Amino acid sequence: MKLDDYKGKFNFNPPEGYFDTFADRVMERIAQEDKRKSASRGRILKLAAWITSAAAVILAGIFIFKEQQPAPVHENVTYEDYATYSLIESSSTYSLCDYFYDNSTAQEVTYSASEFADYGFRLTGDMIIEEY
Amino acid sequence: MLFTENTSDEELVRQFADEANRESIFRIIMKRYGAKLYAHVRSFFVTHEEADDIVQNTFVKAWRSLPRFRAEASLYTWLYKISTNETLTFIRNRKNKATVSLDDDDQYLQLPSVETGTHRSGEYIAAKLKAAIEQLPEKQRIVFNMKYFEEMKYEEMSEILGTSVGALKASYHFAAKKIENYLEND
Repeated sequence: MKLDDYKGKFNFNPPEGYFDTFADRVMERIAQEDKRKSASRGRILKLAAWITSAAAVILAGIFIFKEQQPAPVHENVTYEDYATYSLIESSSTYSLCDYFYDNSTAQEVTYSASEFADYGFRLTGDMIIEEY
Repeated sequence: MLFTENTSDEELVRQFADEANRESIFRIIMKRYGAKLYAHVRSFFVTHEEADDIVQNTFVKAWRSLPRFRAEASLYTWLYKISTNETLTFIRNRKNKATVSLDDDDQYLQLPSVETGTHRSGEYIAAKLKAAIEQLPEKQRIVFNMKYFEEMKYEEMSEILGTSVGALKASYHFAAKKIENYLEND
């Protein structure tokens, strides 16, 4: 079997009438693909809008929830803690230092935490009494 | 503007930018090159249905890419390249698929019948030649098809494939030799 014997003898023609409708079929296919792409683009846009809305609602919810929360209540705070806190809050560094100096003995004294708190409370109480 | 079968490729491509003209221009292009591209694709051993699918794909891609076509090559060369790429993609996918189902593969690998003028039937010759061509590496197979079946000039092939004429001649020579050896030894 020689290769050259069959050169150019193969028939690669399409079935009869194939090209009569070929262009219509291609244009139809292009139109369908465009339609499909447009539908899928629409779906993606819808999904993006939905995700954005959901995120906005969640963020707004978190914000509102935080706003409505009551101020923290510290149930286990002792009177001593409160007194210490009040004293520190109402005193400047300079005036707090004054309390550590006993005027009667003209000496520095050291208070324990509870003594210091108690001292602060008494001092505040005395001040209130004095006002009346 | 009225476009006819005599309107030049350059003018058609230029006017394609105008959306109002697109479809009528594209129909002229399909009419002008559809049959040639079909014959090219059909020579790659696929049945009519596959060739039809590939030629349609070629024109769908051309429709999408034509606005970006930069006339560095002729319109036909550009379309020919697209159809060649589509054909090779199809063959590669088919090979992958063939590893799953060998039965399905058989139907894709048929050459059309040939007028033999000898005692051997056209189907027999086509089947033998098909089997021989399938032994070739992909590039040699393309060169062989373009030269043997389509009787294309080496200069044209060089423009389409971006390979020198000398290399194409050598490639065809090796391909033809391999096929002849296959046919003689079988």
